[in-house]
Amino acid sequence: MKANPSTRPDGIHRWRPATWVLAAALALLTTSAARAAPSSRPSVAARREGPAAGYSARALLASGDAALAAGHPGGAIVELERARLLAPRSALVAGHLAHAREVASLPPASPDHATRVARLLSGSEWSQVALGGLALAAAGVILVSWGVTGRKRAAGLVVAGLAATALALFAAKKVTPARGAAVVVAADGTARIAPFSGAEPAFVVQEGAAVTVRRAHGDYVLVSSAEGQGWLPRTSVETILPADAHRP
Amino acid sequence: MKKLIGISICLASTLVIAGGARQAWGRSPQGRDTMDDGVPSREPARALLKMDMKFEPSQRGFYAGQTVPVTIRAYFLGGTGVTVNGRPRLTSDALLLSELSAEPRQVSVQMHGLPYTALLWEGKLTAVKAGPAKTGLELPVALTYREAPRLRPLPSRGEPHRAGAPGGDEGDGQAGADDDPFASLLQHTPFANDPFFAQMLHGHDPLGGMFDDLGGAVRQREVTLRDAGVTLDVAEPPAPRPAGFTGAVSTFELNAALPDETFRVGEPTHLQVTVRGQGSFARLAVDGLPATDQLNTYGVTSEFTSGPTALGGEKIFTQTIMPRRAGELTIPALTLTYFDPRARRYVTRRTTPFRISVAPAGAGAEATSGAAAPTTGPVGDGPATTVPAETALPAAPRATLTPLFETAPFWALVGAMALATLALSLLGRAHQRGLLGRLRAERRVRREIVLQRRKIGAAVARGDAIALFGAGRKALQARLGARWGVPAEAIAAADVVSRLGPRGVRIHDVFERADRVAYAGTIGAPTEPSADRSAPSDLNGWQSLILDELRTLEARA
Repeated sequence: MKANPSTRPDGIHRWRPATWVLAAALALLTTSAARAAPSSRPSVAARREGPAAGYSARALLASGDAALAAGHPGGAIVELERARLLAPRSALVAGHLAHAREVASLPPASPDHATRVARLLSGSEWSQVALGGLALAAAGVILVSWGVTGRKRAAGLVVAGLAATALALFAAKKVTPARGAAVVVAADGTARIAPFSGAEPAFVVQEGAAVTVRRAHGDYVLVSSAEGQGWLPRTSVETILPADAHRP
Repeated sequence: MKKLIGISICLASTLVIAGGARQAWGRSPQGRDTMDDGVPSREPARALLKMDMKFEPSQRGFYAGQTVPVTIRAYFLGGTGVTVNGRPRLTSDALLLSELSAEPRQVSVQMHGLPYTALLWEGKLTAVKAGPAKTGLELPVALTYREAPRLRPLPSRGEPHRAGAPGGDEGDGQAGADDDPFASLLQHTPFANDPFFAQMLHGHDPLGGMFDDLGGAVRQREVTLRDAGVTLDVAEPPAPRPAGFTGAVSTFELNAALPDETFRVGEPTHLQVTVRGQGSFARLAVDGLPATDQLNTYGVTSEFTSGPTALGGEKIFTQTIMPRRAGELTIPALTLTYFDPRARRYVTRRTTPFRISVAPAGAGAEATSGAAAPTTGPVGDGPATTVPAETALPAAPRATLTPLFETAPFWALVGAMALATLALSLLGRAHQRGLLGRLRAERRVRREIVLQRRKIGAAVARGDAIALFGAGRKALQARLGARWGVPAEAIAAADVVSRLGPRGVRIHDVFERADRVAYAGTIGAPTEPSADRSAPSDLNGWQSLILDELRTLEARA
């Protein structure tokens, strides 16, 4: 018989909360995974922010082309920017977007190298890569805890996973427009110094130009661009991500 | 860049007014009074500025957002050369002057018997905000005029001669008589200091400056004409403001039209809304139709055409719309809300909804998400006029454009993964240290003890000594086995004595009696000399003893 002097008969009382935490975490994991999984059915939030059937790159491309044909290069650029969010590798979308910019008399976009690399995947695809990296790091921690693998190999897994996560999140952020990123969709882009039509003009923004919406006041929004800050009618700008798209 | 307007007015008439230069650009109260009542002033102004507002007779107030036609008049005395350095501008930010004619109209008028040239600008005055608003006005001009020759005073005895006239400008100061031999011819005569001549000439020198002011001196000044204006009391349109009111004040009519053509899925068409009326068209806005699952809509553009009257006009709003589904489609009504100052109430006008038939697209597909086959491509020599590589694009619709990492479920998933990792790694470490095996063994022991305690209770209740001691021994064996790390059933009475010593006497007694009861069926005295002679005589006492020993063993553990 082998004696085990470290046996603690009352230890079970201390492990019960941990059991519950683990169970709760697993339940949460399951629920979140189910909610985060791409669904062909739009959620309530999606119905509020976009068409009932959701967004598809193909439909957005068609919509952008129609706007361009109707003489609204600004609206076309918005739709094509949205299409690029869903299909970042599509040469078709990139070509139509470049053409829309040309029609709007805007200079061709020249993204930096990091942005070009980041556009290999969409924001959601980069998010999935980040989750994969996190899972890799978690696997390294768990394997070394259970003694399945050596410390060096586990440390390698953890470092590689965390690096992949960080890089993927950086790339996802790079390809995702900021909250206020918008495009001027009106032909008359006269920004004024105050939010009413009689105010003095501050500067003129070209239709299709990219601006950043800072805040709103009544029927006007305060935008900033390379020319400065000024107030444009709310209908003159359209954010690339719809208003309710960001929900933390 | 400031636009400069240069206008030169040269009238044949040469009118010389003594002393007029000093007040030429100021509209003195004296001058204004005389202009209003028609009585000529002794010193009429050389330039005047005024603004006339044309309120309707039925108008009962002036509201923020309301527009009235105005005429701005600038009068310049005949013989004055004028260069207008800009347009008239308001001095108050409570009012807005707009649609001023680029070039002023020029007319000749007679005022108080004097010839004036009037420059007229037509425009619109809009109240921007409620409260008192002053209609002060400014106009920068450059005036060129010929000043009248003036008689110089006779110099008194011993007093140096002053070349300037008494009413002359200080800036016109000229050299003294000593430097100017032509300053006063009279001064060099014997009559210069004669009191008789001085009285006869009323103190003036008729010969003084006769060479330097032949026909008067030409002067040029850059001045800003100002009109103090009046104070208007601007009222705010009454609250509550209806939804859709954008500040338009006046009366308007609304009309909508669609082109007479075949509507097709994916093909844009233009919805035209025409607003006619009189008032502040600048504040007039139509929201346009929102996008629906049946209709794609785009921004609204507008174009204003002024009408025959000062405030009248027509503003055409155009919105591009594109049907997304084939079949019957209703274009909803558009509304326009404005404040009618005459009726003092808000008015909402609505267009008539349209019912149109939308034919399928040329390719026979609808432009709905996911199933769409877009038929319209970019205009001009763009990448394509149709979409040739639709299959290259994902057609499956996504619920949202927001990337996964900006959603709450993503971060919940990350948190859950972290928690799970923590829990699993703790479990792994516990497993490696043997904690899990010990925990499982302890759990088995507790379960066994609980079971045997129930049996003990039941045995006491029915007076079953065999069951009582049997269960008691098993419970004690389970506890001792877990403590010593040996199988419970292998522990005998001898082990208890050898391991526990005197502390195990009562447990040893229980083990012995259990054996005896099991084999003999009676509770006898213990055979071992070390046994406790004061053992209980009934089953209740034995129950208490066993439970006490179990508690003691648990406490020691």
